Amino acid sequence: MTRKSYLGKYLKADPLLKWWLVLFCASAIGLGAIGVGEAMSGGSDDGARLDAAGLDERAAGAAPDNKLNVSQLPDSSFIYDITIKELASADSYMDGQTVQVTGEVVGDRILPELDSSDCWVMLQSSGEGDDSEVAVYMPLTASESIDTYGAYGKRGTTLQVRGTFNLACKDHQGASDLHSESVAVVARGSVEEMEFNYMRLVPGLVLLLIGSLLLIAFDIMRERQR
Amino acid sequence: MWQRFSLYDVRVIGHYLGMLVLFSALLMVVPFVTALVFQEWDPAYRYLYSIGIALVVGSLLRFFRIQPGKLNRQQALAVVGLAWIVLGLFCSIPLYNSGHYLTYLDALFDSVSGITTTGASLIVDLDHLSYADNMFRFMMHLLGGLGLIVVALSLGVFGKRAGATLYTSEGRSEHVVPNVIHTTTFIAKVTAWFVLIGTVSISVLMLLSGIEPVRAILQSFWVAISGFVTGGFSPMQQSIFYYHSFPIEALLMVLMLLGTVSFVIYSEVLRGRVREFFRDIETRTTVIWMVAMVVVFTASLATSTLFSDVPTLLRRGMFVLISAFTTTGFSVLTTNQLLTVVTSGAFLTLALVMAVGGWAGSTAGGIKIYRVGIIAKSFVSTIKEAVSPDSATVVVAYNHVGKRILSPSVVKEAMTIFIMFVITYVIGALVGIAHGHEATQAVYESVCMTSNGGMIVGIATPGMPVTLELFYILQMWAGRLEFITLLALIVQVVVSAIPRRRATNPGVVASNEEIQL
Repeated sequence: MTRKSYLGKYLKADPLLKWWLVLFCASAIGLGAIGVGEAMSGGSDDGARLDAAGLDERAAGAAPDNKLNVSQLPDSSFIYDITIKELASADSYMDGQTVQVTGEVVGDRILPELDSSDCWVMLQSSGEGDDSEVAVYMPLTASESIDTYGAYGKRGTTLQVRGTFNLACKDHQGASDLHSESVAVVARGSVEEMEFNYMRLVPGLVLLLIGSLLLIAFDIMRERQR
Repeated sequence: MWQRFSLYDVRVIGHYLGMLVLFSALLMVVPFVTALVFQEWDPAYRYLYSIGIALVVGSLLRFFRIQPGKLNRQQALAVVGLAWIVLGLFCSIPLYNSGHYLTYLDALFDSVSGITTTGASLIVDLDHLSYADNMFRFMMHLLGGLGLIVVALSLGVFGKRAGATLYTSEGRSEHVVPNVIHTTTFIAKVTAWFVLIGTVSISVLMLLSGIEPVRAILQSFWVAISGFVTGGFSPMQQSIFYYHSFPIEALLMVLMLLGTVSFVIYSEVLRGRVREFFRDIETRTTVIWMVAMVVVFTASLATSTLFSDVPTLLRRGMFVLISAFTTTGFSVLTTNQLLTVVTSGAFLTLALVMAVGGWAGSTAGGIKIYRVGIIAKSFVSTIKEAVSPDSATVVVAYNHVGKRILSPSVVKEAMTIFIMFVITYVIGALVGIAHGHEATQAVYESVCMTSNGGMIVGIATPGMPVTLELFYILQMWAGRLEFITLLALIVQVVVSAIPRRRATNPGVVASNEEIQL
């Protein structure tokens, strides 16, 4: 039997082997094309990107449009300066109270209706190892100060929000939310640059190669046993 | 006498598990491609590496037996029983390396939860998860919801020789159409259509609510999968509450209910036999059961000062009740609300509804409405026998894809599974209590795990005690397999591990059962 017909017979006999060879070749070609593309473009330049380690110096509070008043301290008579984690586990005592929280904007800005003048924004705790969240209902105009929504590879704008906390809001059919009265930017968002590194593909490609060879070896042994 | 596994059995089982591991490698190609498309390089490296590991291990396992032959029932039970946990182990590799899990066991918990369509998640910082990792979570749901074996048979992974044995070993007693391969293809097609329609409808709503197009399409695809296979994973941490959209919630309620209808009924309806749907024992039992539960749940929730108005009851209450009935696990309430605002009566009603679960032959979990119906019919039969003369023969009939007579074997099967579920709920609750948790929460969480409901309330958290976590993983696994397969596997493994007693009389010949191939 010729080498060519041997290969054809294996491919016919084992659909998995056929799929693997196709996928292996396609991923190799695809990765190669991406690599060539990356090399030719020399990396993209996005003016809005900031380095992962730090923040824009202007975000520290010196921006002219930053409405943050860092001297605003909670008045113990009516404002609770509280963490989002505490709010996420608040009992009915906190219902209807004025609270002030600070957190990262994550996800999306969601409009409750087509021509709504308000929107929903999700605020996540900035605490180490804490991912508690609270839904904030704010005017659309206030959301214009958000430059980045947190997602994979992106750190969202950090906001300080003061407003009324509702454990089960009557206006929103029982939603647990925070109706904002004041929104201020504490820190701008950032986007992490992720560079393509060929070397990190090597372990995976080596394992793929070994696995493919094992598949071929299995089929050769199976053919010999028939 | 219990059947032991011989070395030949172990080799055959190893070979078929190898096929499934190779199949899991194929599954990982989807998130790998997603990572490449969205230039998420870290996930791309991870998934390539994980594909490689699965390919090598799967290929090596196949060498256990080059020509495996046809699977017998014991081997099929072992393959199906082990498949869920073995796939869970491989699927947890890329998840753990994402950096979104505190421990490897948390990643394993999530992968088992994904594959068993429980939907409980221990992931940290979900809102910063990559598209690739999210895609993988929902691919696990799709695989598990359809059934590992269903998908594998549809794609011809096992060839033609293993179909029927594996299919019934996965806890599926109902053949939608006579041929097993056609059944699995039918299930896959129905799912594909509903997921497509759900994706298109929900993505339109998400686009209208201001979500950017790529995120809207991806998230609608994911929630459509999760809703129809009654999985419960969501792409955002706050589950469906995140979208603040009643139209999306309404669509998902419909999708969840469609997912909990038996595929056998879909087959009948598509053949024009719509009346079968209305006559079926499951339909009638569901109506009676849900009417009762809606009354109890609403009455209990209405006593809460914060959830007593009608719009809230209709929107939040109805959604969580349907999510619990279908054992999906989507929520429009925060965990805090479930614990502080929802009354204990309503809370336990949710647990009870989850405990019973959805329809047999669907993607839902729990005891199943069919079994509750059969047990109810059995009560009727017993009462009839009690009041009838001795000479009378009591015959109780029911409709389940045609008229059937209630037989002792059917009742026995239903009662056995019912009791197994209840025992597991109780033991799980006791394990939770032993770890210091409050009783109602422990009961609720145990029911969530065993019924694959997934609407957890905070006992299952990242970094939870290892013993409790392992027990919850076992509950999810057992609930998905409906106990018999798993128990049979455990018994056979234990019996096989115990050394055989030597015959004291040299003249005694070993029985046929003990002759190993």
